Amino acid sequence: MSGSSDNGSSSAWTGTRLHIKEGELQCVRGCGFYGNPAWEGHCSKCYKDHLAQTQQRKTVFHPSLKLRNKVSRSVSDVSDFTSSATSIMSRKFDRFEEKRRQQLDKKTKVVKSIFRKSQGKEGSKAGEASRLVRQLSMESQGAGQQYNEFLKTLSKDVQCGVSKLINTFLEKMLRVVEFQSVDECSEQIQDFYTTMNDMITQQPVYIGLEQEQIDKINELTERYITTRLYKPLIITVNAVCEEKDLAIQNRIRSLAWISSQHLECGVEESSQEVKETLDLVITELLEMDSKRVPSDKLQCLVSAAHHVLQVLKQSRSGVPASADDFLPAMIYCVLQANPPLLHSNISFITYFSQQRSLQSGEAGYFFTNLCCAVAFIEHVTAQSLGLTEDEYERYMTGLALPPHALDGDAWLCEGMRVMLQNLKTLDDLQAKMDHLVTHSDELMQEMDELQESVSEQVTSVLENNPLTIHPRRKVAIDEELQASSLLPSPLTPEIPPLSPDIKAAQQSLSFLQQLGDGGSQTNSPDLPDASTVASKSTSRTTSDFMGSEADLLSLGVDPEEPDSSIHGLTGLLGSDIDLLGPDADALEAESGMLGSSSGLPDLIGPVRSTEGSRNHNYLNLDEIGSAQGMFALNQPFQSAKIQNNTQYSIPPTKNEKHLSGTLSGQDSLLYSGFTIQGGKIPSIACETGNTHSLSSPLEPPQSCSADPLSPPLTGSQPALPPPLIPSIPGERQEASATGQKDSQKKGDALDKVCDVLGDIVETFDSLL
Amino acid sequence: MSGQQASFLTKRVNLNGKRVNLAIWDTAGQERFHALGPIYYRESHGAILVYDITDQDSFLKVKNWVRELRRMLGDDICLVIGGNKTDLERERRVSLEEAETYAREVGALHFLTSAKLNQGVEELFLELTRRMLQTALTNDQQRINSLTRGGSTTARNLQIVDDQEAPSSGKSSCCSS
Repeated sequence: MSGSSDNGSSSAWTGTRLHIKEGELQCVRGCGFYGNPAWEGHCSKCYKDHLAQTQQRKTVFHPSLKLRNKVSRSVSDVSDFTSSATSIMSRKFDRFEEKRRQQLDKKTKVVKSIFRKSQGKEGSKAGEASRLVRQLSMESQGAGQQYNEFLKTLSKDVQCGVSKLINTFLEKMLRVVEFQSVDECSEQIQDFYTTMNDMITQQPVYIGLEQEQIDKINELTERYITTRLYKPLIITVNAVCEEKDLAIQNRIRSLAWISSQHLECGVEESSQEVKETLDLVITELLEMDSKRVPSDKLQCLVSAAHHVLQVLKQSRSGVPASADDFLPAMIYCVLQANPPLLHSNISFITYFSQQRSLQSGEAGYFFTNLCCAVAFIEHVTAQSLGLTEDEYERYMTGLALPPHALDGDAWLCEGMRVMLQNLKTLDDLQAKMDHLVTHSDELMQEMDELQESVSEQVTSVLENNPLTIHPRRKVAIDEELQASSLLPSPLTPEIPPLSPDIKAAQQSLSFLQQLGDGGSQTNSPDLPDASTVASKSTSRTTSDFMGSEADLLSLGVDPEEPDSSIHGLTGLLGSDIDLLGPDADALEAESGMLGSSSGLPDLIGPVRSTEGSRNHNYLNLDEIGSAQGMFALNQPFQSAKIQNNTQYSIPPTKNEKHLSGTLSGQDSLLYSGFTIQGGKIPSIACETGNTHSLSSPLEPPQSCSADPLSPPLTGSQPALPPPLIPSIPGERQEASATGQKDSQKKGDALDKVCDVLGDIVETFDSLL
Repeated sequence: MSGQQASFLTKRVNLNGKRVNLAIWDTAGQERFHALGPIYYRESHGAILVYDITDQDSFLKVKNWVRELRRMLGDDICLVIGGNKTDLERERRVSLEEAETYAREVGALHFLTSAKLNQGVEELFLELTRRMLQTALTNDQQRINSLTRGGSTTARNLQIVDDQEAPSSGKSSCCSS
């Protein structure tokens, strides 16, 4: 009997018999519970054991490979299913299409939903076309990989059991998920979580697992399943919650006027610090929608809640917040953030996260608070905000704003707040900039001072050190050098003709010298004392020199005829004075050079030289005209002096110009140079005077031979000299004397030049 | 028993060799949030209702809460009524006798505590945990006996909703500050 009943029970699964005994419904293992044909006649517990045993027998292969195989197979299964069950398909398809359409509408709301949409499209295509093998999304691959890697750390039995269970479940879910309601899906998934948890906590194979490993497996199971099924699940959830999502969004928008005062949550909206933390809260709340896994969403919520607590801490100076404070603050934050798809996310978490995590832990607590906040926002009334119905209505319809709405910048839009913040930053930058500018000004000033002090030092050094002028002198000296090199040839021949010439010439010269002294002395008042001293000294030396020359000359003078001597004298005079004229120029040039430029003498020199020659010609003629020439000479010189006196009004200005040109304070130096160079001057004079000295010897004979012509000459000369005279006749005379002296004292001059050159070289060396 | 925040605490308790996780949640006690209560206490195993012994009004609110909880959750939820602020015994407005009588009537435990002096809080929680564990085990046993597929025989995580009544009490009853 019992045997037959056993046999009957085994055949009962074929469904041939209509009457089934109770014993036949029980587990084949005889444990007392009812069996199920789907579990091969086992009860659920025995079936699990049975499964575990069969799994143990199977060879272990790479889980990820296995997963891939399952996926491809499951897709084909889905397609088989859809093709075979077209009636069901057509029935469910309308609903699916509706979901798709709804999803399309949402597409614009969130970027994330676009991603989902494309996935949904792909999935539906795969389902309908039944040939395409769907690619796993990046997230799914990532989650699968994470799971596999964790499982590798466990024993092979555990690996095998867990992955087999998951894959079986996924296979089943992928087949049906798109055609089930949210509640069905949720129920299945929650059941699976329980199954998995029970399996790994109770079955002997998994006994060695630590609590942490169990938690990890549970967490990864949730992660993997929700990631793999995210697309169909979120579509379903969104479809169900769409209206609620929109409703809560609009509701929050219309409640934008609610401030922390209404909620009595103690959030200091005006504080910058609080505002920044509030921004963090809002960011986290918005971030929640972008996560796929419920636990990730919860994690966002938890960090948001921590920021809320931080806000309360900042607002209330450190007192720990109780729920009495936290919930209002949470409501306030949700109102401020207005997260997209709020209801969808809450539902998704509620449906598909492990219930344990929602019932305990801080995630559960904060999630509950979020639910409370949403519920409060949905059902907020005038009473719950401490307002009268009238006030509430006015605020809701936008007819009025709460009295404190415009206090501070709490009610400014985000852009305005950012702008204010930026303005503040700009102010800071401005202050820093000002600081920088003042510093740079100070630096500039310091640099100027430094430059000034350096230049002062340099000028003081320049002032204290006369050597700085030497480069300028060098130019003059170079000329002198040139001249001195040229000197010997024109001068040496002059002495021999001079020596045979008459004493009268010497006498006249000495007389001239005396006159020149007087002239220079009379003229000197315009010049500084030093120059007069210098001129005096030079004149003295010349006179001495004259004397010696006269001695020399006196030897050969006697035999000479007076005429010739006169001629010679005139020639000599002409030449000498011609030489002297340039001397004067040289003096002029010297002073000029000291003053400003060496170009001056070039301009003035030639004119002066001609002046000089003419003047002296004139003198010569005068001298010639008067037999003795002494008195006659006196006359023109006096006139010249007078002219000088009258016309000296001009030279001083020149001198002044020259002097003004020279560096003040260096006058003494100039004059010392002047006196020193007095001896060297002839060298220049000779050079310029050469032409005259060459021409004058020719001319005097003409003038001599044309003695009768002298009257016309003298007649003509007064016309010429007067305009020419203004150019320092006195000086010229003085210079003529010195020039004469120099011409004969060229050796000394050369030595002096050499000395000066040596000095200059030394100074240059020292300068360098 | 000090938490980083006063609103939420997880505590592990070993009771008679059984490991119990207590998730202690604070709820917003303001009247305006009263309607949100069910969200907090759904699926909870126990509740601590605290009144201020110097405030008769807070005791009335406790009575309201008890009524609601019994209505919503039946006898599955373990209730503990705590009379807080025993350090202010002289200002007592709610008589001990009245409170204890009421507690007995509704099948709740009654404790006198002083959060300020940290008196009676530990005992309150331990006793509640014991009660909840007992209830849970009884329920499990009943399920097994009724041939429905048995859940775990080990202690489940217990969830406590600590409805701190009477915001005027001002002090958290679950944490010693």
